[in-house]
Amino acid sequence: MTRRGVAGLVALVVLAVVWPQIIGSGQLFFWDTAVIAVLFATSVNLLFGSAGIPSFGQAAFYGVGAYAVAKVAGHAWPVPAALVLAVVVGGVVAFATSLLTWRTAGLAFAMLTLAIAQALYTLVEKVNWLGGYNGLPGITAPSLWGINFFNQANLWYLDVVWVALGLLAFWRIRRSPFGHTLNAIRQDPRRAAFLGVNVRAYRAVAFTLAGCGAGLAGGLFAYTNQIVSPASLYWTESATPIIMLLLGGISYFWGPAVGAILLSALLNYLDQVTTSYLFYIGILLLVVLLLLPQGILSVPATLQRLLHRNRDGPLGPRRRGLADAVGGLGPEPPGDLATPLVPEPTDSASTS
Amino acid sequence: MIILATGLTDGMLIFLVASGLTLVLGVMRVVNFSHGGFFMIGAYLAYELLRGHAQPIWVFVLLVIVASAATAVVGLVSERVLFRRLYKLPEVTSLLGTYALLLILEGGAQLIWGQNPVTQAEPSSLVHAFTVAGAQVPRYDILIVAAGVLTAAGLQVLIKRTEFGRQLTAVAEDRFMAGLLGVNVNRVFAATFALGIFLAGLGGALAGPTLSMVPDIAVTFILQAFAVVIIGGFGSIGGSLIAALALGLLNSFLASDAPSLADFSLYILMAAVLIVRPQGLLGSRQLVGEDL
Repeated sequence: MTRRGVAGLVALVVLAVVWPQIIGSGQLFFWDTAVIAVLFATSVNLLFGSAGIPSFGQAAFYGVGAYAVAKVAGHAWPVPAALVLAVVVGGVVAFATSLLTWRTAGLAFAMLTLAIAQALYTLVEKVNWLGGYNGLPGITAPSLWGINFFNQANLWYLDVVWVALGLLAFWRIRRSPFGHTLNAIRQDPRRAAFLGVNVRAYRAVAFTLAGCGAGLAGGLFAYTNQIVSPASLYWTESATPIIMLLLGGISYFWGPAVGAILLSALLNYLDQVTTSYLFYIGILLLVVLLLLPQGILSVPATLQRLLHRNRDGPLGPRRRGLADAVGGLGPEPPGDLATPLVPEPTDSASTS
Repeated sequence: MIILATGLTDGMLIFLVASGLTLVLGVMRVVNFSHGGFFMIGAYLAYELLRGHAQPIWVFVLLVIVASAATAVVGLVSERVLFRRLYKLPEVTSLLGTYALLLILEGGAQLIWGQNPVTQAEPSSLVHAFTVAGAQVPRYDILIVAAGVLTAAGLQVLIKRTEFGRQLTAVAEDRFMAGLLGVNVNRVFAATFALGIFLAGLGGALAGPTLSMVPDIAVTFILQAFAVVIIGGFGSIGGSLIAALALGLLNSFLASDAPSLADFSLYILMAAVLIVRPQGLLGSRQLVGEDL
């Protein structure tokens, strides 16, 4: 790790420790949910940013993690055991989903994950054991080593520690040979297959790991929110972490984290000033997709490149946009859709 | 009998929405999340034109068509402004683009019409039910079924028998070659999209009297249409007709005979089809991405 990296990390740790004192307990709940969103978005970016798997059903794994914790919290399971259970449940459900979608990729995969997640939503909403439509209320984290989690600051530390563990895991995964293989699969699944990589198996493992991360985030959310409801599995919830990772920058490890904080803050603000935050989020998403496809974190690099345009030498690492991230992912239709077929869809390009 | 009638009506309504979705998917290779948004716009526009009152049937039909056409115009504008830019991007990016449009449409509807539900009355001559084989069937159902049959037949004629249909098929098959052969691909895209959105608006306008309108119907109703597209096969209109009717009937049967399973009919049908035929009933393998 570079010295700047170490310095940044130390600053983050210090900030996390003193944060409850800085902002006071009134706003702490919002920040709890924001760091949980950081973990959720980072887990989803293992799919979109690393492996190039377009899943639209991640809310399902988040939701089952939350329900797992909610169920065992009633039996006073210790916090670490309950959260490990959330990780396992999220992973198992994700693995089952990856088996069901084994033979699909691209758009079909996206729609199938959406449908499977929605089926789980319907199931959770119907089952009385899980509280049905109203969900499970009154979840509290039992005291651990004498630490009482009714205290808002202690709950914040609980969230931060587990989110940090989750981020560390995804950091290691990204840097491992496994992570590099996922990159290769994203860039060209066919070539990866020719090199002897079992593409579908790798995708299934990546999908399972992302499910584990989503499950952990969901479990933390259960303790923080103290109530879980089927709404956290609804299909529109799966889009939120995707918007976050696009906003921050899909090709950066910290992109989803930055996006999660920004979007959480924006939603929190919009909620106070308008009844229709969807409208503004939609416009934001369009602007990011069309004008800033590499996210906010790409702004400094882009500026630098503009400033140094005339100089010789390397321009620094080229950053990917969503375009490269998920291009070449889908099926290969006749005539290769990954590249624009109509050379340039302008009116002058074709005549009838 | 009542089960059959309800199922048929539901199925036709789903078909109206799904046919536009599958048309756009098949020709333009864009999964259009915003389709549900246009469904909702159609419902609200019809409500605005009819003012919620019961009207004579010919006024109702005329204004429903006007509302659908107006929805198509909104669709055409969004095609020009947004979708044009999405064609060049990979499929998944364009998927997110259409999701953004869905958010904008739903949010816009919240700003204009608010969150409180509004209701639209049925046409005055179709308010009551009539009796078939001892069962009470709402008269309004006839209108929906008629619209569904007309749409299915109309699409069939349009695609198989007209010059535009031939161009559309060519573009769906290979847009590059079609462009080389002198087909104006952009114009075909715009027309296809307008047609698809017209059908979404028509579905919304006709569904209006059967539901209480809130902006949220943009995200709830679209799920059934998505399932129908998966079950019927990506891009297949015939497949979506069969799938929509099967879904409507299964819904209706389960609702009366096994209410606890009713909400799962979609997933039961989808699982059954996908296990046997991953590409859907009448779909082609290419769009499923079977090889990696």
